[in-house]
Amino acid sequence: MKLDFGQILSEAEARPDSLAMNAALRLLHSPRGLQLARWIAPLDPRLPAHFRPSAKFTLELARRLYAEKTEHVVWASVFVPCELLWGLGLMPFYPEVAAAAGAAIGLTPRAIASAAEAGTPVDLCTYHRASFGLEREGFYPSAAAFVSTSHLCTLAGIMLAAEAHRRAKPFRLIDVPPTFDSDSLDYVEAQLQTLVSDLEVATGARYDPDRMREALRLSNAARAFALELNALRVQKPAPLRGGPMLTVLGLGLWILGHRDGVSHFRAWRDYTAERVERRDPEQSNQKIRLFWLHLRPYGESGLIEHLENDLGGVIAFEEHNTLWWDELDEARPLRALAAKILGHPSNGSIERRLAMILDGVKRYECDGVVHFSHWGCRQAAGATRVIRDRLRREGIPMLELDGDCIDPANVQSGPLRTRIEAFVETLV
Amino acid sequence: MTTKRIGYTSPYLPAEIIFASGLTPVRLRPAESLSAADGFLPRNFSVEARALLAAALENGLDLDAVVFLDEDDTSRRLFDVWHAYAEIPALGLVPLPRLDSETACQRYAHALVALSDSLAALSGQPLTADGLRRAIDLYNEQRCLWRSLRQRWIEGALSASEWHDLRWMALTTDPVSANAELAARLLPHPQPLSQRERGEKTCLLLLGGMNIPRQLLAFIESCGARVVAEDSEADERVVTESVSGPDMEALAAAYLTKPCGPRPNALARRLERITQLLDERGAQGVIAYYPKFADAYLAEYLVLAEVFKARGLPALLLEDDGESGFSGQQRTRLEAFLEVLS
Repeated sequence: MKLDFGQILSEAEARPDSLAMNAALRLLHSPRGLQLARWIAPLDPRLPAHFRPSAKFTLELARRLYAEKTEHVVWASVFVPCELLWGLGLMPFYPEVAAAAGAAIGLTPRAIASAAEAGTPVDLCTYHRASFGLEREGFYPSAAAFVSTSHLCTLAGIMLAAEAHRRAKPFRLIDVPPTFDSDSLDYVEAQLQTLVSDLEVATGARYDPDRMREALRLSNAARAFALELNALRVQKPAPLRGGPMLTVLGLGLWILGHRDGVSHFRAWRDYTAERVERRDPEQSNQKIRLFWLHLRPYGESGLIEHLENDLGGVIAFEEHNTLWWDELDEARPLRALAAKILGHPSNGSIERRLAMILDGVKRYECDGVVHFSHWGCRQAAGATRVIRDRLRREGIPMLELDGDCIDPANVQSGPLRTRIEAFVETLV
Repeated sequence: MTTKRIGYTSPYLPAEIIFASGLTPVRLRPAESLSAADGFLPRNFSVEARALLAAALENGLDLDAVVFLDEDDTSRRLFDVWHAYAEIPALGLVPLPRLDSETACQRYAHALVALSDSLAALSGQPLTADGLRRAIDLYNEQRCLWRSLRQRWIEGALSASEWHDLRWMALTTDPVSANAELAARLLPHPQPLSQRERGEKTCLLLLGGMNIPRQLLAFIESCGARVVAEDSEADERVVTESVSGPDMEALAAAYLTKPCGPRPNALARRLERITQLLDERGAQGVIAYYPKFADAYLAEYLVLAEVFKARGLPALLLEDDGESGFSGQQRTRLEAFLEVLS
C-alpha cells in the first residue's frame, strides 16, 4: 500500500496526536531511526538490485541531512553541480528535487495549501510553492548556506535568496552567461573559486584538493556507466520503460560525485545490459518510440502508465537523461564544473536545446516527441512553439501536454489522455 | 533627418549606445492586447512579454530592430519566439551579468561593444568615443531634468498622470527632443501643495514592473491619495544619477549598479532601497501592481510583505492580467484599501 503522507498530514489537522504524522516527522529528525532504516531497507528482498544503491544513498542522505552534521547542509538550485558540494565535504540539498519526491509520496497538496496560507502567490511554479510549504511543515532540513545558478529558473534563485534572508544565512548566486566560450569559462570558474571560499566560511568546511578530485573521479566513473546505459537504450525494442527513468533522473542531479553514484549507474547499466541480452524489454508492447521532453507528473496521474501499458508508446529516451558535459578534468576541477554549468543545453537561446533534441530523436530513432510542459516553468515551456515548428520542418511530430509535475489537482488526466491517444494514433 | 528606431525592453540597456550609433532608442512598453501572442507564448507567461510580442505580431510597433538582453527566463524565451516569428529583427541576445562586480561590469562593457557593432551595421555609423561621450552628456542632462521634475511631482506641483506622461515621453523619444520638452516643463514653476494639503492626502508607495498604467495613477489621485514613490522600471529604477565617465566601462557600471528590480543576488539591496523610499517619502501604505506570471516580482513580494507587516504598513497586491485593463474589480479593491487608509 502506498504511504500517503498528504492524507496523513490532512488527517493530522483534525487529530493533532496522529501517530503516523508524528512518526513521519520524527523519523526524519531521528539519527537512530534513519540509521536503522538505512540498514534495513536495502536488504529488503523485494527491492530490485538496480534500486539498491539509490535506496542506500537516499536513506544515508536523509540521515546526514536531518540528523548529522546539519551545519554542513547547503541548499542549492538543481543546476548547481553536486560534485562541487560533495567535493567540499558538504551535503547538498535540492529543494526542487525534494518537492518532486514529496509529490511522489502524496505530500504536495498539503504543502501547496500551506504555502498558500502563508501568502505565496498562486501563479508561481508549484515546485517552489511546494518547497516553501514543505519547509513550513518541517520536512526540509536546516541549512548553513544557499546557492543558485542564474541560467535556468530565475524563480529558484529568488526563492532561495528569500529563504536565506529569512534564516539569516548567506546566499550566493553563480552568474552563468548564455554563451559558452573561454571568457565565460574564466568568469564562472572565478565565481566558483569565490564560492568555495564563502562556503568554507559559512560551513566550517575546508577545501581539500584531493577530496575535490576524488568527487570528480567518482562523477566521471558514474558518467561512464551512464553513457553505457544510454547507449544500450538505443536498442530496439527499448529495454527500459521511460516513465520510471523520468523519476530516476532526479537522483542523477544529486548522486554524481558520491561513491554511491558509481554503484547506482553501474547497477542500472548491468540491469539494462541483461535485459538487452535476454531480449526481454520492461515494456513488451512497443508500437511507437518517443523522445520525452521536460518532466512528468510525479503524483498519481496514470498518464505515463496509459501511454506505456495501453497505447504501446515507449519512451525511448528522455531529454534530461542526456549527458551534455564532457568528462570532468580532475586536474582543474572548478574549471571542469564551470564547463558543466555553462554547457547545459537549455542555457542561452533555444537553438542549443533544439540541437540536443534533434540529436536525441535521431539517435534513439524516435517516431515523435512529447513535451510535458510543467505549469509555471517559463524556461522550459516558453518556446515550445519554436521547438514544435522546427521539428515539424524536420518531419518529426510533437505533442505538447500541459500539466503539473507537482500538483495533482493541476493535471487534467482526461484531456491529457485524449490528446496522447490521438497523437499515438497518428503515429502508429 | 529621420533615423531608424531601435526598440529595447530592458532598463539595463544603456540607451546612450543606440543614440551614439545614429539611431533613436525607444523603450518598449506593453500594449493592451495579448491575443495575437496566443499560440506563440504560453498563456501563463508574463503578460508584459506577451503584450510586447502581440504588438510586434500585429505590426503595431514602428521599429527597425529590437535589442534583447538575457535578463531572465522570460526575456530569453521572448527573444526565441520573437526571433522566430516577428518581422522586426532581433539584434541578438546580449549577455547581461546578474552580478555587479568589477569583472561583471567589464564583461558587460565588452558585450555592449559587440552590440554597438550590430547597431553600426544597421545605421552605417560606427560608434566613436566622441559620439558616446556626447550621448552620455545628453542623457546626463536628461537625468538632471528628470530628478528636478520628479521632485516637483513629489511636492505635488505635478500630477501623477503628468509625471507619467513626461517619463514615457523621455523613454521613447530621442534625447535632444526629450530634453527640450522636459526643460520646457521646468520653466513655469507652479505652486507645490502646502504642507497642510499634502498632509490631507494618504501617501503611497507604488511597486510595479515595466510600466504602471496611467489610469491607475489617475484613479489613485481621484480617490484623494497621492503616490509619492513609484518603484518601477519607468521611474525609481531608471538610471537617474549621472554616469561618471565618458566610456563604455562607466556606462556598463552605471547600468549594472542602478537601483535594481527583484534579482536573486540583490535582495538585501532591494529591501534597503524600498525601506529608504518608505522613510524618505513618508509612505502610509503600499500598492504592488505586478504583471501576472512575473515570477521575480511575485516571489520577492513574499519577503516585502513581511517587511511591510513588521512596519505596520497596509499593503495591497494587484495583478495585471493584461487583458482587462485596470478592471472594475481592481478599482473596487483599491477603493476599499484607500478607505481603510484614510
